[in-house]
Order: sequence, then structure tokens, then C-alpha cells
Amino acid sequence: MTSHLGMMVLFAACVSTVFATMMRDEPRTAVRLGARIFGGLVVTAYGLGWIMYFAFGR
Amino acid sequence: MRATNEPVAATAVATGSRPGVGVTAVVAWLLPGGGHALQGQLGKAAVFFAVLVGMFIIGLACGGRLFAVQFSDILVGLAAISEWMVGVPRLLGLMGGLGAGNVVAATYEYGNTFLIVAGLLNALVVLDACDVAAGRKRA
Repeated sequence: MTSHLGMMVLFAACVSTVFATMMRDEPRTAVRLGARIFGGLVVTAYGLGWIMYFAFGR
Repeated sequence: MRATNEPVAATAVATGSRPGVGVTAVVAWLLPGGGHALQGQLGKAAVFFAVLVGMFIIGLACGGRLFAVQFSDILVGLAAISEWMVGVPRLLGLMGGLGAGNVVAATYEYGNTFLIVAGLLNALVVLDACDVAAGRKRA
């Protein structure tokens, strides 16, 4: 896979899975936390990407 | 969630005949998820093993480099230590001659990131397993 977005999503999925598993004991709450961490990572990276594009890339 | 002023001893969980902190730490370092398996948390152990070993394999597949431990360049030395924190997979990579690093590959830096972060995450997993072994966290 050479897609930047794909690599970032894969990385975020791995990191969020480890953190959620470590921080929660119940599978249901772990999934919810993992989804929140994953969403936070992806949305933040995507937003920062657009900010850098408008600030430096044009 | 435990209140911050509540004594740790009041909420400590008896670990019974499970291995102590030292053994748990060594096993957790050598094999991602191994420490949690020793403490009876097989589900968590399986997740940690699958994700961390998977990240290591992805890193190698992306052309990442397994750095040698040398501190002429401090960042290279720190990256090497981070990679060694993943334990046996790093040792197998060394023995198998893997991780030469493909600098011209588009995914080279991604590969390095996956390899380094896999080790750093395993360091956190080791500390978590030690907390369980010491009774500071529910087994």
C-alpha cells in the first residue's frame, strides 16, 4: 500500500486498538474508546493535512 | 474509576500464584502480550500479540530499517532501542537478515514508523502487565 491516507488509517487503527485494549477491561467500552481514539487520530491528521496544504502547499 | 485519593492497597487485586513483576516484565518484553497471558488475561494478550507483531511485519514489508544500536547519531540509537523493545520479533529480524531498509521506497519512512512505534507500544504494554502483576490493576 502506498496511499498516504491508507497508511495513516492503518497506523491509527493499530495504535487505537492497543491503547483501548490497555485502558479498558470490558470489550464493549474498549471498542467505544478505540473508536474515539481512532476517529481523533484520523480527523486530526486529516485536518492538519489540509491546514498545511493551505499554509505551505499552494 | 478509582478516586485519586483512595489507597492503592484498598483496590489492589490479589494475584494469587501468578508470576511476579520481574518474570512478567521479561516475558512481556520478549513476547508481545506474553505478560498479560501470564496474568490470565488471554484476550488482551491475543490482541497485543496480533497488533504489535502485525505492526512489526508491516514495517518490514514497507521497507523499514532495523537500526543497529550505535549512538554516533542519537536518533538512530534511540530508534534502535525502540525497535528492540518489541523483543523476539526484533531478534528474529536480526537472525533472518531482515530490515536492511529500502531508502528509495515511497513507504520507507512509514516502515520505520511502524517498526519504532511497535516497540514503543510494547514498552507501554510491559508496564501495564507489571501493574497487573503488582496488583495495582485488575487481573
